[in-house]
Amino acid sequence: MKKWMFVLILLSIEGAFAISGISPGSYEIDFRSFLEKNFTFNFIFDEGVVSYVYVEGDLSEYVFLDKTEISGSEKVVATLKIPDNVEIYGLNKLIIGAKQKLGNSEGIKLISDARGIIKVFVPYPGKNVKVELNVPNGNVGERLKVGLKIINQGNESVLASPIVQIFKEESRVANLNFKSVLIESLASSETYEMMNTSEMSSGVYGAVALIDYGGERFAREEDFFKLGEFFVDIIKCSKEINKIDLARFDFEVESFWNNEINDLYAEVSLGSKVFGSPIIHLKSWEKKNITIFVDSSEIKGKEVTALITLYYGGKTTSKIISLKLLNSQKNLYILLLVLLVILVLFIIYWKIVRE
Amino acid sequence: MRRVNLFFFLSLVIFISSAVFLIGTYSSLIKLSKFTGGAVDSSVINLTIEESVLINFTVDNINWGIGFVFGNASYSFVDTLGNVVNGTWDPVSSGFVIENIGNLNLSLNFSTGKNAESFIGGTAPSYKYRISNIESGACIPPSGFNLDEFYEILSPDTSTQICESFLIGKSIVFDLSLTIPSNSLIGNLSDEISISFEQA
Repeated sequence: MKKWMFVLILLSIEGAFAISGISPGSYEIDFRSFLEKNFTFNFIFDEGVVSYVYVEGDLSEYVFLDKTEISGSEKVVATLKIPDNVEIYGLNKLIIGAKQKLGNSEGIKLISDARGIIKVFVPYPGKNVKVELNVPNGNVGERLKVGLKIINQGNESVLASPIVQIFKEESRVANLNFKSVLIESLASSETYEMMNTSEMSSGVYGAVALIDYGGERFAREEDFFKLGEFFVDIIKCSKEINKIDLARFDFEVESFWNNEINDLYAEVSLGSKVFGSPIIHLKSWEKKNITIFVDSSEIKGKEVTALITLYYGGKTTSKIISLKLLNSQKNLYILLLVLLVILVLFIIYWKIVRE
Repeated sequence: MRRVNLFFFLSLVIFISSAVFLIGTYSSLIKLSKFTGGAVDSSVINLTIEESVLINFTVDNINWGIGFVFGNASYSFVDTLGNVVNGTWDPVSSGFVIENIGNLNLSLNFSTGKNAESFIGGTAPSYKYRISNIESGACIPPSGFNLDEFYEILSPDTSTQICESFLIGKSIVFDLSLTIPSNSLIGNLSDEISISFEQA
């Protein structure tokens, strides 16, 4: 006899809130000795929801809140009083949060914890520089705008002398010299130089920015960019097609041009017949699949040679491939045969069962 | 004769409606024409849209009700995917649905007050959670954390990041699965699940 154990367990989960949040999401400031500043956060909770307000993270000992508990949606003012000096350098993240309070409750309760951020950047002692490099993609022959943003993260002003080196396959192909610039502590400077690419070939390039600012080593940043040529390649093709009068043939094309190509179409020559695709548009560097339905029903043998030709902007790209022909009719016969065998077996089984 | 009257009445209604519509359109065009070409004083409209970090629990209640482990079973299993095995609880077929309704991408963490031992008790209990995207790409998880995979809640009061970036206007679902042994704690089991969020 089965023993039944009547132990009752209540499993319920409730959320005492629906919408919750904070506005704004964050503030950002730079460190200044003896800085005193108020930050207002609007906490959003459903009416009647009680939450306690807390401070967490770096520099939290220098933050004072105007209230430690809120009901529903309320404003909270966090006052940051920075001392003369702190020794936590770099980006410091302070959290001002409001976490829903629960009374005596049963079941599983969901509680919301909305957190605002105050980011305080403390300059590094001495000289410290960070650099951001941006080199856009382009086409061979175009002049590209190579941009630099140099950020002085130290507490001393620096004279920054930038240089950008361009590499292709680990060989340096160009140097760009920028003017030296004086940058105060916690300030930044944005500059650019135009790069002539008429002597360069298409492909992928690496760019390295080196900033000599009088520190122990250069500030360094890398970026990659592509130089395009007006060319579309055929990169992947179907290896087999069905031997029917409407067989699907797929292939993929890739643009090596840094602009749109709006008038590309393809043709596939199969035996003596030619089949065309609709006109397609390619975005810069885009890969796209093209499907053409071809009639392969009259082709004899197990393999056929296909010629794919792309036409775009007065240019063509061609590729010859070998395609395996699949006899789909033969497959159909095999399928019918299998179905017939299953049917016969079922009839035999049914008769045995009846007897 | 009646049919003729009906047709006449319908024609009249259509004619009057068309006339009203034409007059309305004409007067609107006249009004619009008064706005074009005239010199007006320039004015500045100031509109500030503040950044907001805001979530909505569109499904914020899960209730399996009251139940028990079958007497001949060593454990029961319930989850938010509609499964109840070896027990009498009501099936629940949706976890918590969280939507980012603010205008910033968010970082999302969660923590619980208990683990399986302290929440369910008994021999080999299990208390697991899973995060899944409702819309593709809604949540970009941190490295080492996979979406659509159940994880055991091992340490209570430990904040675990579940979304490095929870995209604006998208939703995720937070599922739970519980294994309740026959010698579990009884009564109303309780715990707190805290969802903390900030600007990513």
